[in-house]
Amino acid sequence: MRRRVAITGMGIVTSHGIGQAVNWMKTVAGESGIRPITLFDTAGYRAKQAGQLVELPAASWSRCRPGRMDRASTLLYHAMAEALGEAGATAADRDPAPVVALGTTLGGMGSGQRYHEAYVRKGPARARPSLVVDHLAHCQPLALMREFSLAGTPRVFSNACAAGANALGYGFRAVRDGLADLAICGGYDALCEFAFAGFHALQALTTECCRPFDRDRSGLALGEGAGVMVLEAWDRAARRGVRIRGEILGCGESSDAFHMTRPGPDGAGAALAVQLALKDAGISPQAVDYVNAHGTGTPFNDRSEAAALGLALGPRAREVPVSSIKSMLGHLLGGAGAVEAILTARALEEQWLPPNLNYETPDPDCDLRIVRRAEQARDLTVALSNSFGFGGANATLVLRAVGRGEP
Amino acid sequence: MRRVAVSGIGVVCPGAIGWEAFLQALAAGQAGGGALRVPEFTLEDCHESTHPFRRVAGVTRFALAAMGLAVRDAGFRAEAFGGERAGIVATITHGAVNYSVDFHRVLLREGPQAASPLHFAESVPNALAGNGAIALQVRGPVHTLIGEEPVGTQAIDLGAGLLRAGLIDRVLVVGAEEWCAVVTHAYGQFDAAARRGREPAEEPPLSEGAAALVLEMEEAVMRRGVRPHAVLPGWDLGRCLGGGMVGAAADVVRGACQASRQSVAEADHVLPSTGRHRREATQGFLTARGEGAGPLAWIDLAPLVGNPAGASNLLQVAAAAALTSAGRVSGLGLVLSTGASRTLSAVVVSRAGAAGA
Repeated sequence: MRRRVAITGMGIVTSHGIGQAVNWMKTVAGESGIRPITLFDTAGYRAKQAGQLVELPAASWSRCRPGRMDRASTLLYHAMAEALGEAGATAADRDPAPVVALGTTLGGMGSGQRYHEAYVRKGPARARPSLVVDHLAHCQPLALMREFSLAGTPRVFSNACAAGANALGYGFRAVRDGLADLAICGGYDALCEFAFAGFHALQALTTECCRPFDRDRSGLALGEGAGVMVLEAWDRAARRGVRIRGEILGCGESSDAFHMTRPGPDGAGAALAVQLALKDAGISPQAVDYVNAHGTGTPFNDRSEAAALGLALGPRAREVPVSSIKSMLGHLLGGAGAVEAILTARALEEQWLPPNLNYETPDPDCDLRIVRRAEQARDLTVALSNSFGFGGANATLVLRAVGRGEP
Repeated sequence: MRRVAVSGIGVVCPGAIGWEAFLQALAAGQAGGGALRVPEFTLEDCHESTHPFRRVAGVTRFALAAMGLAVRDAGFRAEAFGGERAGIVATITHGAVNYSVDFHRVLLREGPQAASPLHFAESVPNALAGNGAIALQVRGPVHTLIGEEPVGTQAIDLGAGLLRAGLIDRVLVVGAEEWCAVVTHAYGQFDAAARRGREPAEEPPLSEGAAALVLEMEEAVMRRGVRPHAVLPGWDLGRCLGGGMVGAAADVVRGACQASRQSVAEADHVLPSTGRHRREATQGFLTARGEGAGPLAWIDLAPLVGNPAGASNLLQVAAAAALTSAGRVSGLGLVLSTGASRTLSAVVVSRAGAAGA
């Protein structure tokens, strides 16, 4: 049984702010959310900036102790509250145990870092265990499920930067294949010094601005945020009368099997994910109207992704508009796939293409039609959202606008 | 529903390297000698990859060894296992935490310029799955799931879903964990706080190891001319939301048996949880089984391997499958797993070709 999968709720938190409205407005305006870091001291680092959410309001925890919750849980809380609120999926509407799948790279690493700092500086006995209550990556989803009265067991994907897309893909398949009527899926990661230092050590951070696909690109900017989608069997959503925001048509997943931190230079692994996603969706490359690229802004990644699009889409790769939102928000790691899928869904809904900020000089190795400034689109029907991560983890989602190109 | 078969088993644990040695240790009732650590071993003895995995984290070494052993045991040459029709689902609770600790310690003491890129890259949670994909050239879906002990059942569920959907033909599910002083200290603090003057709960100590299973559809294994070790006709996952853990465990046991179209009373051996709340889970099983059922064998891995957290559940399933394959048990087996947040799972293990779903 293959059912249509409706998006009935979306929640998003990034350095642009909390909620879809502000995020869409600033994204389409081409506003950068990358700014000097205030969460930790950047002395000693070459890069000093990231997509940090400067004012993160406290979550209204009722079933968890606020002082013990990691920043990652707070980000996720706001995204989930918005998504569930929009879907109108009150406890009474929900399945007894909806699928809950979330992706993250480092979970509550900020908490683990604080515990370990006390362990090292003050000694093991003086490191307070309350600091690590929300450290492990499964703790945030469990806390959110308690908070929002969601039964069942969360699936926590940690496929590096593809994790959010993998979680959405898991929920999509569960609903499409009739294993669940409702799935609450997404991804998140919070900015912390551990992650920043790691990407600094890998020399992956840019010291200027993030300019994906530009010839002079010099690296990525980190970011933070969370994105949550409520996915629902189309007929069920229609019966409930809830507003359907978009549709997921397909998902493709693959592995490069090449290197832990570098993508396969020929793009073959990522191309396979795109091809499998198109096959899963039952559409041809010609039907793709927009690609929301992974586009990290590192020399290797963008070249590999351009090659992958060339392999998977053929001549269409040179025509289809492509942009990377990471130019504005930074790389949200486990949150990237979900946040970018949400903004792709908004692009389909609003019929606007988000810009690829800071793109000035074309790179002959990235022969793509990059969207320099936000463009109003006509008949924007099908879009791809790419997520390619460490360890060669690749995932592509296919999304469709409501009321366009439907069977 | 079509059944998922275990066609290959790889085990790396404090008591043994390889599933035959593991069964011997189990039969001898041999504790890991109090050791919670995996003994020294040569990775190249366990897998045939030409890639030199010299500086990977301990947890990745265990996983690579277990995956190599499982693939070999399933009758695949290493270079023939991978490709687009193969996948990996890895599970951890803590992952490469020693590298994380090393990275952060250097960051604190010497500053960012001294922090090792290798320690960071290899401490990313999907490093063991990514390295596994490189070793075996797996180009299909490669996932890492993080969770408490029952996460192994999630991996079986995800892997089986990919097989049943026809997206892949074979999948390695692998759980791995490494021992870490900082993590053990933190758990000790939690346990002490939870007891508050009461008697210690005698939880199995945290340990390390890895277990890998090659899963295929039963008919596909038969077509290859290989006899599966066992089949996994059903499983269930749950979370206790209040009320009693015993009742929640009983529900999960019933759910797994219902998915298998078997009766709980037919179980003749049980592998109790190695995680927190293991007593309640055992009580839950007995409640679900009711009175008057036949004799029952309890096969507790905790004295042998302690609690290797994210690896424990797949290690239990590996043990049940190996015992079934070796003819040491004849009927239906139930693997119980529980975690500190009152998550739980049950997996039914039975002989290939035996009646069932």
